[in-house]
Amino acid sequence: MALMRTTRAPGKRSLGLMALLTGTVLLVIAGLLLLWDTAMAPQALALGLLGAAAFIAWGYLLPEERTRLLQRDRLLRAGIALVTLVLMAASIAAVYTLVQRATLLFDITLDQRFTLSDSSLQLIDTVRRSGRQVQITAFYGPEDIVDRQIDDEYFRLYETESRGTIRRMLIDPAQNPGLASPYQPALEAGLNTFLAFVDSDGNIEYDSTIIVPRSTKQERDISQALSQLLVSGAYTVYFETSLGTLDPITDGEQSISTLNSYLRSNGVITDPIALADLAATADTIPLDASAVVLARPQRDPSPAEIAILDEYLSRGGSLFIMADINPAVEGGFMREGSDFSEYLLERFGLRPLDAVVVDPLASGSSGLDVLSYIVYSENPIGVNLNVDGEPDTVTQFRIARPIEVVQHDTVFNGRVIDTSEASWAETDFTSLVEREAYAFDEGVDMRGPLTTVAWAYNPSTEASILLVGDGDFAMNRQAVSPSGNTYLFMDGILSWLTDYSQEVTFAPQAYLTPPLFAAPETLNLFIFVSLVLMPGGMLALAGVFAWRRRA
Amino acid sequence: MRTLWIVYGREITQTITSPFSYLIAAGFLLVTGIAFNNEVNAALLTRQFTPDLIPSLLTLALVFVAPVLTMHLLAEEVREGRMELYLTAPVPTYGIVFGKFLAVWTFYSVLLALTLVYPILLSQVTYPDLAHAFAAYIGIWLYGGATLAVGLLTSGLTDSQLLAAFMAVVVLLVMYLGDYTGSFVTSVELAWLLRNLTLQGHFSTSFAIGVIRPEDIVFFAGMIALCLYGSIQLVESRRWR
Repeated sequence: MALMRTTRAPGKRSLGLMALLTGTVLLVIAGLLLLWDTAMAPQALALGLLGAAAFIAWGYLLPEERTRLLQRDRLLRAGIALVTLVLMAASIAAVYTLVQRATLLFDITLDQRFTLSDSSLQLIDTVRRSGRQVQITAFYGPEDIVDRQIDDEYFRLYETESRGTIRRMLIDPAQNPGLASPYQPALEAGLNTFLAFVDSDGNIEYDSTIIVPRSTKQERDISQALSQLLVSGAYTVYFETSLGTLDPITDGEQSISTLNSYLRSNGVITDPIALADLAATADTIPLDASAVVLARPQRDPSPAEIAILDEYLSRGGSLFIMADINPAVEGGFMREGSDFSEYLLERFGLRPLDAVVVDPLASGSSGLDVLSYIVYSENPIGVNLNVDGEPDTVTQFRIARPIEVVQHDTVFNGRVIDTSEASWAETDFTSLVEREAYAFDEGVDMRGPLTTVAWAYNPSTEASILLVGDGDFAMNRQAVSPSGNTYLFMDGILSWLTDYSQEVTFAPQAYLTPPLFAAPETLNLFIFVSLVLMPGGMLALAGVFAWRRRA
Repeated sequence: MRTLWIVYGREITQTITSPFSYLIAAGFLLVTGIAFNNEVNAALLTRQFTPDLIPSLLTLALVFVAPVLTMHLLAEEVREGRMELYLTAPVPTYGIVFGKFLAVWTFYSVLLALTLVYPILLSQVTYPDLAHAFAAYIGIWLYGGATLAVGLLTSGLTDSQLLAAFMAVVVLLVMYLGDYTGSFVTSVELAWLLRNLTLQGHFSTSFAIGVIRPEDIVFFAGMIALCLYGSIQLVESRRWR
């Protein structure tokens, strides 16, 4: 045998062995494929044929081994070895499958990242007691297999803890385009996880769908979305439509349908309402109104309409007002001295001025494209604006008007966004309209900083107002970029005007591991130990043993 | 069992007295040391130190280190004729295979243990997530055992050390690429199945993130058992081939 091995060309023997190994591996994979899914039979067959070809190559390259193997006793021994090997592999696979089905997981991270927090457990308990089934629907292609595995750890936690009240379904959008189609816009935006109620027949109630944000804080995101799902339908925001306001429904640059859709995707019901119709029928704003949006009205409300708003505010209502100014048009919404302007000043200490804000320091393409410069983030409206290191979180107003905030005896009020000290309130509309020119006129124009967004809250009635000195910022063409525009609208309505954020906000698990702090001498010690002492010590030992061997 | 400990003792003695072992250790510590210092500088004042840094780095390193450590184990015995002696002596084959495997796994464990200096150093200046690091170290210890078992198996397939190492690198590289299976198959189920057959599939989304799942331990232990059994069968087949 040894003689035969030495006379055979080593290259041929190596090739033969590699063919044998390749053939074995291919046949094993083909077998596994067939066991996994019979639909994969063609692929398994192709791999099996390749494996067989590799075996033929082995037999051709190493004919002596083939002949020896095909002798009866050797064939028997080889067969026994192979069968026992396969049996062993099958036993291991069986144990593996059993253990995997037990879904045991030991989270030993310091901050328990893979363990549900108490607030999530309480929420799951609420879901269980609600008697309604919830489905987590998540879409992953083959390229997302790693994300899928990590996310699924969390989904399983919710499913197990809710004892099946929350179920999970993972779908490949390419293989199931029909199931993916209702979620297509969100999928194209990179969002892949959704929560929705399931009806008694087991079908998803698509209207209730809540999008789960995609971040590395999965537990917070899922719990927050679950909470939104539970409160969905509890908040209703009305968009006023009879004052020449922006259209919240139709898609188009001049509408605010994007932000309306955002509200709906957060489980908020949105509906139109016409003050003129209510005034004509002596009706009031519905009791379920969490907030009313006046999106860039073109005319002032009539006394009857103001009375409707006043009645609504007196019972704790919330108003989101986007008060534009058009310097080319006489009159318009909330001009100084108008009934509604006087009403807001008297009751809430807020008044939009008849001027256009110019800010040479914080502006976009022209001094009239005003950017948020000072943000008062002590309230929930400004907290996501002008975030350090995130320049996209500024807000941009096109032809904004300043707002006067007057201290009030019975009402709290304040500023959210101010312009820079270099800004001023331009009052020469003629020059602005006819020559598109503007300049600061001492003694005429008011010097900045000027307020462009302000709030007011009446503690006795719990009425709240958010007044923005611009109507364009929330329009579709500007709603997405910069992102501060979206935050102003969404946080203004959801966090400030309703108590929505108190219901659905979940803090992430507290990460206990702090950032790394080290003095330069400590870093030098690290370098010495890790790059000099330890490898150097090993090199020295290598030298010693080499010397001893030579000696 | 006696054979096992005799072979184990012989292999360990050879390893301890071989300058080559210390050269491997020096290279190993140099690479991990560079990675450690890079991470310290990157994390300084901004974020926490990545607890699974060294174990995750080793997942790729082991694809090449494990074959180097194991390529001689059986192939050299055959080439130098010592295997004939083993096979004619009244010693059980499993003792030879287990002894060699345990010896190389011990050497790897010592190398791995040396890198525990890094978390110890870190604990002087911050509060690293030692539990997370512990999970990652448990994972890479098992992962290392599996890669060494594969190396031992390929070493038993041939009497050429180079070919044994090459085959081991190819097999381990394929098994390392588990996280990328989705890039070359079109079915999620198939990608999931293939990933679950790979080493990374049982490390990067479990031990490396601070989670211990029993099925991952079963996978690595099963892989070690299967490769050792295959190696025993390969050695045993020399008796009747």
